Amino acid sequence: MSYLVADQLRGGYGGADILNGCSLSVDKGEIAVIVGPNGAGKSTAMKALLGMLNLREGTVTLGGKDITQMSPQDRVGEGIAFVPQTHNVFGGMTVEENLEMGAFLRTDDFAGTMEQVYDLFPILKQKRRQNAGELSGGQRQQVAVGRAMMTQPSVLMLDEPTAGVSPIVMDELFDRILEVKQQGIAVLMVEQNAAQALNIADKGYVLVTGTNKHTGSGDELLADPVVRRTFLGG
Amino acid sequence: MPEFVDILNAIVLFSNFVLVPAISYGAQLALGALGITLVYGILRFSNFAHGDLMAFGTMTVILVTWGFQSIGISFGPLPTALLALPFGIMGAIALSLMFDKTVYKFYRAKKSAPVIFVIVSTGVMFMTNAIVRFIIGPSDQRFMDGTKFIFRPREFKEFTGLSEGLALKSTQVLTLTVTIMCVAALFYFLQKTRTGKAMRAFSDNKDLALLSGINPDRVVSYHLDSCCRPSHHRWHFVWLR
Ligand SMILES: Nc1ncnc2c1ncn2[C@@H]1O[C@H](COP(=O)(O)OP(=O)(O)O)[C@@H](O)[C@H]1O
Ligand SMILES: [Mg+2]
Repeated sequence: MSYLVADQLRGGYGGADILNGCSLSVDKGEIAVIVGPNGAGKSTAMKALLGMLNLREGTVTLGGKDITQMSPQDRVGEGIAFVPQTHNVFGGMTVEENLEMGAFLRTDDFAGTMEQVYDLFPILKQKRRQNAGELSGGQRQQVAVGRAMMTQPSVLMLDEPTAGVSPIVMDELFDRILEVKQQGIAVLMVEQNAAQALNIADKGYVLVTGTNKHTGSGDELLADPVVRRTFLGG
Repeated sequence: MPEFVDILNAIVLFSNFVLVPAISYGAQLALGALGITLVYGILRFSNFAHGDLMAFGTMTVILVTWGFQSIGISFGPLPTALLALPFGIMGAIALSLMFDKTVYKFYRAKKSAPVIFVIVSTGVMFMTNAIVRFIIGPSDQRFMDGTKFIFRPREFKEFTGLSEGLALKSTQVLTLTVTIMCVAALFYFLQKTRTGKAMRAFSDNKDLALLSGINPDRVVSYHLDSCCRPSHHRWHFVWLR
């Protein structure tokens, strides 16, 4: 069984269900990518895993432990880190302060983790006294991922980390995410750049109207003619 | 053509009646403004009761000062009221926490709209005001002791040989010193301490702060205690004038 497992999730924002029996899982040292059309419920599935959604049905387990009823803050304490799609940095605070806030719950010395983040994203070290709000889109995403890494998470969830960044920066970010995976972290990410994301993925999910439409390894999905035609543009 | 000494006399006259009093009064206003800005900046909460919280702190200081004076405790050349300041701070913190627990917490749990908080704070304002009026009343209170003047107009005239006098009260110097210290301490707190940064993070991006494990209840109480600190000095010195 995988480290983080979501099984048969159903629920929404009070009205009709957005998630209709969606199941996801990701193991440590693995990248799982969720792709699918706009409004399919990808972000909503992320929120469900984080405990920010009222689920009617389904369970979420982390390392075999049922965390379905746990509050988002407690899940952060359990090692789930989340990078939201938008508003994912403290714009009025410096890069370094952003990282410090990521480590807010930690009581040990986090200087080593901060060095690791700077090794992963050298540009951040250079800009560490600058406000995160003054950085370029790609640099901001690096701050956002860096902040999440400061908790020393076992699961890193990213909602469209490459939205609005140039293709070169996107490749760069994907390389960094591969490095994160090599540290033994479970990476679950939602992506619009489906083909590139599936390229680095161990596992892919195509989500349509809150249900798993296609599931497979990244390569399988890339090779599937139906997936290619409907979701990857040929 | 006015003589050079006339210009000097004019500057002294202006300083005595406008510049010096204005700087010290401005410093008092700055302390109050600092507190209320902090509340709004971090919690996005327009606290109408802020001024009355300051009055409550001042009242506590005055009462404790009278207590000290009656049992013969003094602070040498400095006003005894300075010794009573910590009690005023604690009084204001206690009142804030009491209102937070009994009033604001209820609306926070209900996630009420900001306008509700503003109206609620008006209620708290009337209550605090009534408490202060009931205990000490609205009229002037004398509790001044210590050295009143650093120099008097006559001393200034004799020293400089000018025909205009300039007075400098010890309270004016104290007010300015306290203001500068408070601003510096607050700046340090927000820029350098973990709690201060967490408060800024919370006001910057509430959802992300929650995702980082920053607890809003703790922010409120830290915040309350830091905001009533500067607030009450102000009234203290207004009353001291
Ligand atoms: N906070 C919300 N309140 C109510 N409905 C929402 C909210 N967020 C998203 N939705 C709805 O849920 C559906 C799925 O949205 P989302 O999960 O953001 O899609 P995706 O990330 O796949 O593009 C959409 O129909 C959207 O309108
Ligand atoms: Mg989305």
